[in-house]
Amino acid sequence: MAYAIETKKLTKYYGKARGIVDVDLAVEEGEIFGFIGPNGAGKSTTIRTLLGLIKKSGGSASIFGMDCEKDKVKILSEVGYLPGEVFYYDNMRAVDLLRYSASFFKKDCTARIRELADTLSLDLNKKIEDMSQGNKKKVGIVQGLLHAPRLIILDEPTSGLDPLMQRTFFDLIQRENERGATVLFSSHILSEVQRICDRVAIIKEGRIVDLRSIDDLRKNSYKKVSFTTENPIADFSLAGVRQIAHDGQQTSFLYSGDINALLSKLASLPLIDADVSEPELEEIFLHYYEDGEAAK
Amino acid sequence: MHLIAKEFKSGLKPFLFWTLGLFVLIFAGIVKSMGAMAEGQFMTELIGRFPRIVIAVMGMLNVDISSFGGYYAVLMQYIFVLAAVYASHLGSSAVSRESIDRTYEFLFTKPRSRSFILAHKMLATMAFLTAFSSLNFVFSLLAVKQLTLQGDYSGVFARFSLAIWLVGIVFFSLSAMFAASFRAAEHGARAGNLAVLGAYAIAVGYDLVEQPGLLRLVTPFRYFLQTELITGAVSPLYAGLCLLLSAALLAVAFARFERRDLGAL
Repeated sequence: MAYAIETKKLTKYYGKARGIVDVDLAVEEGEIFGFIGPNGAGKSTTIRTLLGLIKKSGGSASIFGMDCEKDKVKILSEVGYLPGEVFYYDNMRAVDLLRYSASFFKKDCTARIRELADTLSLDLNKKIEDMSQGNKKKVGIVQGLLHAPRLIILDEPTSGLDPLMQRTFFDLIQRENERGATVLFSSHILSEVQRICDRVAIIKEGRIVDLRSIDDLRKNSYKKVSFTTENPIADFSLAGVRQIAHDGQQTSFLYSGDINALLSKLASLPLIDADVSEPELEEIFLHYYEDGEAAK
Repeated sequence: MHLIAKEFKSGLKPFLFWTLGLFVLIFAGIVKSMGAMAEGQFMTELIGRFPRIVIAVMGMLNVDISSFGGYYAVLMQYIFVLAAVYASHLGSSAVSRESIDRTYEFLFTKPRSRSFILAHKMLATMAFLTAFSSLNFVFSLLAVKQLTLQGDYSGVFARFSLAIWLVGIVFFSLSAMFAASFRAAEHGARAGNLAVLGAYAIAVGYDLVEQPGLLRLVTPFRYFLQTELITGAVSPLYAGLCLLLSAALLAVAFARFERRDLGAL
């Protein structure tokens, strides 16, 4: 099966500085794939290698079964890309920039430009230099989608967009996905990834540290536990407990393990209140970093 | 909008500024030529009192400025430098502009090869250089009409303009090669400007020494000697050398640009 995106041991060094190391990804056609990690983890390096902007140091990368370096031109006709920060030719009007962008594709994109601009409430006649960062981002979204690409690569796409526009943007991406487009969604904001992605790869210091479905990540990983006792508890130990915090009578932690063992332990305490819930993705994500710190 | 059309549009404003400089220099220079020629004997004596190196730096060592041809050759010496600086700017800009403006993520993620994009950018910028050289011819013709000169100088103007174009493409290609080779854009641009300065210094050295030998090969500013351009023709040997050198430098520029990582500079 040809994946929309497939990398094997993809590695990039900038001189001696690490970019990404042995990155293995397999994004299936039609899915919305999240790619999360903090700034500097290697998300943009991976994306730029896929797009042929930078040259890999090792490994392989392919899109729709085509090699990212050898078949770059063919690949790029199928790809729409929205970078984290958008920079365009200031002296151009949005409509001129979008027509210029469309001129690289062998299709008439006029109707699509209008449709996307209407969806995003974008004034096409405004000059780029007179636009706010949010409006420039909208231009970026339209130029990334105007040729109805099979693969949409989004690198930190929501920065600069207000919450209402973010919502519109997510709806738009989901519609593109329903149309059949595969989406690679890179972000350091986990709630965004949680919102629309099917699966997620977590990258840390240039390496993929985990790859799983969003549901799996939430259901099978950790529970967020907090309880209140009559008197403060100085010591609470149980295998699988992480990030324990005491605040007066209240104790909270993340738990991974046998739920019965947890309930037995809690039952032995003089509880006033207890709460077991799904943790936020941010809280789960923190472990990948704590583990790394502990290993050092 | 086509890639070349877009490049034309973005390069038009700087081109107009350079053209304005060219216009002022040629009109002011040529209109003043009558005065210089009228005072020919005095000017020659006056310049003769200057140290040889100063005369060489001014490009007056091997020409008779009491004649219009000689005077025009000195004026063209400065136009050669002007064209070389402009060509150097065009060459480095064709390679680095998108990275400097951080628009590379827009342009180089479009379904075209890097070489295709670079070739189109270079064609557009090369057209500016060609227009600059052509305007040198046109402005010279227009300016000389203001004078009451005997004879037809259009051949001289055409030879100088062609020589300016040929020298310009060498510096254009050299700067493009530097820009594609250096990681930082300012280093590439600086190397291009230093090449112009260095070549001019060598040209001065060429004028000063009795037997310059192969020194002429090192500086494009002396590929076409003033005396040859006034009286003779554009040397086919050096014209060929300019074209070959440019082709080789551009080949290196394309190869390096194809291999490099694109990023903000």
